[in-house]
Amino acid sequence: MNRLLLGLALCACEAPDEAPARPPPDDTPIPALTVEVTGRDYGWIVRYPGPDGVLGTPDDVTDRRDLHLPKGARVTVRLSSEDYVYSFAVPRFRVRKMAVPDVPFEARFVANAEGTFDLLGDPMCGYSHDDLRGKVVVVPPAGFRAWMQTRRAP
Amino acid sequence: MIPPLSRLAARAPIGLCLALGLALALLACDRDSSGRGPGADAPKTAGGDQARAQAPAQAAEPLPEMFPVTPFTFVDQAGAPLGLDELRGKVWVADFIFTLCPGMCKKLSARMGQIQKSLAAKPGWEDVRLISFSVDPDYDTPSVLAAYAKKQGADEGHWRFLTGTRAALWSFSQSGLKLAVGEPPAGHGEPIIHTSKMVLVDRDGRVRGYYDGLTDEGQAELERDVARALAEPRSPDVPFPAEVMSPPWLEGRIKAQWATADKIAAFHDFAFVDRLPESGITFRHGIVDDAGPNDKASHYDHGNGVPVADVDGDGRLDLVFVNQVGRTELWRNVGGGRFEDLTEASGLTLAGRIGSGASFADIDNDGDADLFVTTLRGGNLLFENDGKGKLTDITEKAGLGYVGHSSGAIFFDFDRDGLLDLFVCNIGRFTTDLQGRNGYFIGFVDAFAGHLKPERAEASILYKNMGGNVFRDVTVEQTLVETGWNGDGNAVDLNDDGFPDLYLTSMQGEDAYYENQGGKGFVKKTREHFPRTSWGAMGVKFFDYNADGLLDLFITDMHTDMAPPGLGPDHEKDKIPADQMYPADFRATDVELVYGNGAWENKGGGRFEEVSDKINFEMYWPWGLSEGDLNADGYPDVFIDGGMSYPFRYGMNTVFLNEGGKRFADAEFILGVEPRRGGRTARPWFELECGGADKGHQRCPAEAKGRVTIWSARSTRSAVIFDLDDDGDLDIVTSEFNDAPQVLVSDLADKKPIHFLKVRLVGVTSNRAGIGARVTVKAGGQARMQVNDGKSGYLSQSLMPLYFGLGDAESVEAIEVLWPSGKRQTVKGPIAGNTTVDVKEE
Repeated sequence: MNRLLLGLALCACEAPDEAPARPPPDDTPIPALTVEVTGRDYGWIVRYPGPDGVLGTPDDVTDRRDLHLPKGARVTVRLSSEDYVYSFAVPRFRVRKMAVPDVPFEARFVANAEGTFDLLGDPMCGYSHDDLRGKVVVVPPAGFRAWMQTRRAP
Repeated sequence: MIPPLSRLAARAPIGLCLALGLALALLACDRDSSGRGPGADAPKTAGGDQARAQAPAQAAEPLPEMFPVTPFTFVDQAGAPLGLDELRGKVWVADFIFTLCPGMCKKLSARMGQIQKSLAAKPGWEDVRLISFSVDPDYDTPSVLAAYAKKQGADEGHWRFLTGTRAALWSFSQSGLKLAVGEPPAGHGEPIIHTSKMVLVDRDGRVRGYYDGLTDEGQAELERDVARALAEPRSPDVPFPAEVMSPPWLEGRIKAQWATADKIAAFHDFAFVDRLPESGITFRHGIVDDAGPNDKASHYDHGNGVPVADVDGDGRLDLVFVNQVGRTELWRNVGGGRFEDLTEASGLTLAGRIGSGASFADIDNDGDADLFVTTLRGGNLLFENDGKGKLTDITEKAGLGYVGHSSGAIFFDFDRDGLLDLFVCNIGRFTTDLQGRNGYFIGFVDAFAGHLKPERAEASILYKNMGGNVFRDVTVEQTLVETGWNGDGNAVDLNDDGFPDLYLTSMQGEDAYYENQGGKGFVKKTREHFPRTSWGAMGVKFFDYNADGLLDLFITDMHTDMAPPGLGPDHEKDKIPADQMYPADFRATDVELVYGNGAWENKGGGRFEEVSDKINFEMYWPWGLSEGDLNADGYPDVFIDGGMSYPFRYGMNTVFLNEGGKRFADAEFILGVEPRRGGRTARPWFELECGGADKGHQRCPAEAKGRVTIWSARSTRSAVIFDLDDDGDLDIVTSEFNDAPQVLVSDLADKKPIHFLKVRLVGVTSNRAGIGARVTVKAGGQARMQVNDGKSGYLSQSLMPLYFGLGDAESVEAIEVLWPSGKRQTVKGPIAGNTTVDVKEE
């Protein structure tokens, strides 16, 4: 599936400064995207594949709490936890899964609506924490690529 | 009230009271001068008077912090409960008096009156309380104290006089404030010797000094230190979450329920009052740090059981309160709703183990109540009773000392040999090998995913009673290897073959029903009879709710309430949307779910229909359930323990009144069970030193530099329904989590003439207590059937008579017993109601 993410690698090419005109933004669809979401200390760590399109390699992009997605992508969220048991829910896409240490689960859905939606997380038997309650931000592929670019900037 | 002549005659001359009091006071002073504080038990760091002797030169020194006062709840001169929780935030001065002692006590009270007058004129008086504890509570009733208070000129808003039981007050004096109290030397006839010291307690409930209550110097020092204590910054109380102090939904719920009162088709014009202060019970439940400052979502939050049995053979039902941290205690019922501590005398001790459940049973058919206690990795315990209340630990001989994560324990005679066998529910390995404060094993941070990790499975155990108080593990040979996360279970004969079957709840998975194959093995047949399951079941009880002679199954299910963020106590009847339930891959079962509590109506022939919504058996966040005919109308009602405590919102206890076998009506507000006594929904849960050891703790407010107290929601874990004061109606005693129990005494018998029958079984061929017998009472043309299974509440099994409410029938036409031996026996009437009948197996 990660082969399908080569599109992401394209946006690693930076426009040369001296270019007379910026190329039009690449809004070609990103058909599929796999990300890792990991619970850690009552918060979410989100990991995206970098230019190589493969998760778990040095060029991965990591972020906290919010989940950014390209519209139209078939999304696979690999869920796990480094400590507690957390629930992971995106009501807009009818997703509810658990994040458990050493027991990987996957949430799959299609990001078929553009907008900003609730990402609800909570630990079992207790109130939620701010860092577990984030947003799912779905934007057109070009916007997603641009956002990834900002996350990779040194 | 006029003092009894015998007591007045027996009283020593006034001078003796004073002289003995002074002697004791002097003794205490001597100890102080050696730096030991107020008495022999005082901590070495006390040094109160010694420090004060140099006070003028060191007035700027902070008051010494001696020790926290032991929690207490007594009754004041107005008959209102007053305890440590109510005194939080106040600086208070304590003394000990009794009204029949006109010598030293008179001087002490006169001195307290002077202190009142003096402090009332100074700043901070609104935050000061004066508390006079009676050490002669048998005489010093609230009305006696009220008259005494008036005579002393007490400002009742500030000066309260407390009474309770003698044992509780003496214990509080000695242990709670570390002040001696005692019987006088033989021959003097003086009823009580007590101290003349006064005690200063700060806003956080800590003793800060002892003062001579008989001298001007003592008063001066006390008043000076009161001012210093008032000037200290108050440790903030931090409720978590903020709403626990005053749940915003509570008032609306109360009004809504009262609006239904006229429509409830069951007698409900009676109420329960929490009589803990009058009961004399001083038990306080203590928790491991995982359920407090270390905040670990693990199974320690299940709390403990509270079973009853007549332990000492006096005919009254006694109480056991199992504990996590602190003593597991046995309280002897002395009648009239009062109890006394029998723990030490009985020999009951868990020796520091972290307790879990407890079950009474007559394991050796000698007619008394033996006790089995489960623990969390401390080893389970079996105590044999000598019939008089002396409990001897025979665990090793019995072979029942399994060390694991044990929970509910079920005595039943699975092979019908006349000896009670034992099934021990084991939860699963939810703890690491690391130990925390008080020796508990620290829970896994992902304990609630343990069912996904096969290495954490821990099979429950079936023990066969071999006779001679020896048990043998027959789990494998009886094909009852169950590794679900079992918290509890209930054994009844569902298929009418005479052999008890077993239903087990799973708190993280699918429940399990095992059919007994004639005592030669068990076969799991859950889905054949119960095609859907709860996922997160806690409580379980079979009883015949609709009087059709068939046993229905009632399950309380917590996890479907805790899953979604949107459901709460203000939406107690709402069901979780299917897409918000734990996903199937996490549930690790493909069976269809019952959302919320389960009520399986027995349709006969092994068929059950789930009717919980139809009969209104849903509420919010339950633990176990207890069943009993609270209004004596012949239909069993239900009490359900609710709530979660730290770190969660307040969840109420629920009472369901049975409307003629058709449905249940919510009645906890109408019956006075909620709100709790004094409307209290939260209590201090733990303290943090935010400027020191606990710096950075997630609950430390950003601005906090010193000590803060985190408050959390009160909540119940188990309850037992029985007639504790022998007035004919059923009362309720709860096991609270990190709190004192509730002693909910019913006034039903005062409100209307009630009719009931208590049936006590004496097996001969069957096990002596008749556990497993079916008893049918026919009265007023109706038949009511109960199983004598002893299942009395979460994590608890009791040994007590069956209670049959008779409605309007004044006598019983017949009692039919189907004994575990298979014998059928009929006791023909008429049998007078409102009696206890012993039925011996023939």
